[in-house]
Amino acid sequence: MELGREEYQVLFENVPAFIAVVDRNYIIVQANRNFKKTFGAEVGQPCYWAYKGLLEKCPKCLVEKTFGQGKQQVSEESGRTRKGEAIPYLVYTAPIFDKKGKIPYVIEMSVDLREKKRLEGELRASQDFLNNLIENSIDGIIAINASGKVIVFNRSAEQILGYQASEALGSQKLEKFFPRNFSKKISEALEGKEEKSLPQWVAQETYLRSRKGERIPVRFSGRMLRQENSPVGAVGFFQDLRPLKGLEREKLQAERLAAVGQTLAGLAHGIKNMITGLEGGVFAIKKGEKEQEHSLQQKGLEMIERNVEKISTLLKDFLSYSKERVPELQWIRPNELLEAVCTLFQEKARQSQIQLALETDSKLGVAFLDPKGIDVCLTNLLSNALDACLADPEKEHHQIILRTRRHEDESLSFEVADNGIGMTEEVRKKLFTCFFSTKGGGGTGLGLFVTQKIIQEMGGSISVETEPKRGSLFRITIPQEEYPPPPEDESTSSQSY
Amino acid sequence: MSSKKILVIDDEPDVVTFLTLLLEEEGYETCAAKDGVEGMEMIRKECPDLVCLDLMMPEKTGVKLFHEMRKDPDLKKIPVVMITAFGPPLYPRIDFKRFIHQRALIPPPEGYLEKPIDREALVKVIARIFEREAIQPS
Repeated sequence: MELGREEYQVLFENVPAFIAVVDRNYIIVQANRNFKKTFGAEVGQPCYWAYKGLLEKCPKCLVEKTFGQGKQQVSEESGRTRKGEAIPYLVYTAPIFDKKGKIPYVIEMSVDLREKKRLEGELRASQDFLNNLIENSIDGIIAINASGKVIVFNRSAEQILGYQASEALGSQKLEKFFPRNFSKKISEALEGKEEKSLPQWVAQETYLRSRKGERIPVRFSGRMLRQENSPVGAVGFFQDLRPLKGLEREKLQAERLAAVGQTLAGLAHGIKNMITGLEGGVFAIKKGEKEQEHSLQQKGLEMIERNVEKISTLLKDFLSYSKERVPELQWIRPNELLEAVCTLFQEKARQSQIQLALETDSKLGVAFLDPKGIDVCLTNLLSNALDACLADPEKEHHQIILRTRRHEDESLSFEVADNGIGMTEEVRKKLFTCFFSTKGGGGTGLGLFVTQKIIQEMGGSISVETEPKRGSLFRITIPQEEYPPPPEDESTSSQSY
Repeated sequence: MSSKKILVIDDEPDVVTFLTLLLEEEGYETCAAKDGVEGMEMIRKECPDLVCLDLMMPEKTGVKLFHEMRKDPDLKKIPVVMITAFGPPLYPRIDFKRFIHQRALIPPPEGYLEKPIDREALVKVIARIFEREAIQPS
C-alpha cells in the first residue's frame, strides 16, 4: 500500500521525534510540530541556531558530513529548548536525493534523550544508595562476579578480616575470604560443574582467617547469584562473633565454676579414700616394724607412695578442668602426633606383652588442631586401653590399634581400639562422669572427663563402642570443614609440637 | 573358739589392704572382693560372719549388694558394716539414719563408718556386733 501525500504529512507532524529538513546552507526548509514546539524553531532559521542557539555551524557538523558522504550519520548531541533548558538528543541524518542523484537537502531526525538521562541518573542514585548500604553495613559483605573475581569488599569486611578493599578487589583467591566449602562450591558452580540444587549457606557459625592469620569466629551466610538459572556470581555476608564469643566464654567459665562446686563432694570422696590408703600404709609400716616383717613395711611404703601420687594426679586433673584453657589451634600432621604418643607407650606395652599397632590414614595431610589438647586425650585413651588389656586375664594375645581417619565431610577422627576387658552397659553410661572410676586404686575418675572437655572445646565429640570381654573402641571426631586451608608456606612444612 | 571370718569389699586395693591388716591384727580371719559382683560370689563361697561393705563401687554398688543380701533368706542374717567416703559436702559426718531411710536399707546395716577410718571405732563396732550375736543367737 502506498501512502498518500497527506498521510505522509500526518506522520511527519506527529511522529514522537524532532524532524527538520535543511538545505546546503543549513537553513531549515521544513520542520515538524514537535521540533518547533520544543525548540521554538522556525522554517528559515539556520539549524545550528534552532538546535543549539549557536551563531555558526557546529564544529563537528553532521549535516555537512552527510552532504559530503551521501550517507546516513548518527550522533548524540546536546541542545537548548525554547525555554533555554539543556536537552540531550540522539540525531540521525540522511541525505535526500533529487532526480539527478544530487543532494539538495538533508533530513534530521532526533530522539529526545531527556527521559533516558533522567532514568540513568536515577539508576546511578539508586546504585549509590545500594553502595552506601553495602559499605556501611555492620556485616562484612564480599561479592564476586561470574569470572570469580572479588567485586565487592565492604568496610566491615576490611575491618573484620584486616585486608584493604584495594588488595581484595579483583582477587580470585576466594579461599582467602570465604569458608573452604563455600569457595569450593562457588568455583564448581562458575565452572558449570555444580549440581542442580546448590545448597544455600544460611547463618552458619564458622571461622574465617584474617590477613594476619588469626581465626575469626563469624556467622556466615552465602549464596550463589543467578540470572535465568546460570550463575553470575556469589555473595557472602558475615557477622563478627568475637564480642559474642567473649560473652559465651564468660558464661562457660561461670558454669564451670558452678560444676566445680558441685563436684567438691566427689573430690572429697576421692580424697577420703586416699587418706584411708595413706593411713593403711602407715599402719602396715608400724605393724611390719613391730613384727620385724620387712615385706609388710615395704608394702606400707608402696601404699603411701601410691596414694601421694594419686592425690597429686587428682589435683592436677582437677585444676586442668577448673582452669579455663583456650585451645591453641595450629596446623599439624595428626599422624605424626599419633605416632609420637604411640612411641611413648611402646616400651610399657612391650613389657606387658601388648601389641601396639598404628593404622594411619596416609592421605590425611594436615589438620587444624590443638596438639597439646589432643596429646592429653590420646595419652588418656591409650593408658586406659593398656589398663583394659592388663585387667583382662582371659585372652592370650592383647592388641591396641591406633587409627587416624579423614571423613568425607573433611572431619577427622582418632581411634583407640583394644581387645581388653571391655565394659558393661552400666559402666559405659557413667564413663564420662566426673569421679567415676572402675580402676579402684588406679584412677582419679577424671581422665575421660577431662578428655571429653578438651574435645568439646575443640568443637569435637568423643564416642565409645564396647562389649564386655571383647574390648573397647574410643573415637574422637573433630570437624574440619569450617577452617580455611593452611597458608601455602605452612602446608608443606612439618610442625613440631 | 574358731576365729570369725570377715569379708572386706572395696574397689580401692589400698583400703582393702588396710582393713584386712587391721582386722587380722585383731585376730579375725579375712577375705576380700573388689566390687559388688565379686562380693556376692565371695559371700556365697566363703560364708563370712560379717561383711565390711564400701558403697561407691563400679559394676554393682554397695547399696545394691546390700539389698540383695537382705532379700536372700540365706544371707540376710549376715551382719554388714557399711564403710564409705560418701557424704554430703555440707555435713562433715554423713547422716546415716536419713541415708538408710532414703535408700530403704531395711533392716538397717548393723554398723556404719566413714572414711577416713577411725581404727578404734571400727574394732569397737565389729566387736559389739559379735557380742550381741553371742547373747542373742540367731
